[in-house]
Amino acid sequence: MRFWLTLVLIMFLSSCAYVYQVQVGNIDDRESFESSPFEIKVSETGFNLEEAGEIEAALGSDSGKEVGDLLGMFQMGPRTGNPVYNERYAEDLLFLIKQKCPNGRVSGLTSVREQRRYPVISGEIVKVTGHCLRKRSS
Amino acid sequence: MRWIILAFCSFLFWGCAHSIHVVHSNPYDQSPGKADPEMVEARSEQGVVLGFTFDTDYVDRAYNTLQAKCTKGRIEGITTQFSTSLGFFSWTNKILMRGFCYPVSKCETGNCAKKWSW
Amino acid sequence: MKLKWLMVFTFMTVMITGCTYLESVSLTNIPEERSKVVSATREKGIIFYFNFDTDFADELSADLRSHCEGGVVSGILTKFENICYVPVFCFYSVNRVTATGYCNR
Repeated sequence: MRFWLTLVLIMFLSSCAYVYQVQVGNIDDRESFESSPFEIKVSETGFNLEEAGEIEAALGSDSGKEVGDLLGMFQMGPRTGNPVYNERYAEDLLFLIKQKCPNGRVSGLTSVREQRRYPVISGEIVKVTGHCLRKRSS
Repeated sequence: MRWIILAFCSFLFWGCAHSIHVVHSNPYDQSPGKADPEMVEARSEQGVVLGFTFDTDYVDRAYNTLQAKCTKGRIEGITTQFSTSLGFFSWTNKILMRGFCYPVSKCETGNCAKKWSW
Repeated sequence: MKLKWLMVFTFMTVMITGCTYLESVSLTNIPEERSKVVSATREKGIIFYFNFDTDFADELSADLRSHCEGGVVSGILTKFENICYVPVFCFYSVNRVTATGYCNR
């Protein structure tokens, strides 16, 4: 029993990571600037209703798949990862970048749109890494 | 009872799901001595029914709107977000562009700032 | 009779148009001077979803550069679209990349 419980826990707690988009910006690596790296991650929980319906159907519930399919009809459209219920989670990236580098030059920005997938739910993540450059005091 | 719950769930989840496809960001320069920028933003949308959509002009609309909000300056640090709000056999594609508008550079004799950067 | 011609005309219009979907978009920093607009487009037809390379987009940067020799191209809006022809069940589609920017010398 303990073995199966541990196995189920491992299965549910580990996740698969997916990358959907990567973008790399201009890089300034000149000696005259002092560089400090920063990372920003914003995320929101995504839900896969079809998967929830399938799991429920596999557990013996007849209506599970029907509910999943019905709700799926209300969520039609192009998707990247699982749908989220808050579309504004990545809107403040510009302010977050400004907070990380209020008095310098931002360089080497890398934006990654990724997903950490668990059963039924997922983490829809936008990660931005970069460097804040400040002139070296000579 | 089951159908009431189903109808309630459908109503609850209708039009609430969204998906972010692309987030693109740009560098900017806020070193000491630079003028304080103003944040400018442009949003545009395109409604799509049953997958029929014949152009992507909404992107150009957002592009033009953003530039119209900063006619006498340069726009840096632009972040572009492309997302879709999902619905019942229809969806809405959305573009959000945000950036910092730096005012027109003052050009003194022999010391003109560059009109572009990055 | 009129209805028949209307249906034929509608069918022909649908046949030559395609559904256009945006796949990705990006915008670089926009300059102060925006008088000269430069643009480049590259596209590739895909039959039965078979696509073996993405080389069509490689020359886009060179095209843009050729329109602005000796200058700086900035404020570039890059759109990657997929145009799918519904009457043939999207078995023929076109991937198109368009880059539009401003040239400053």
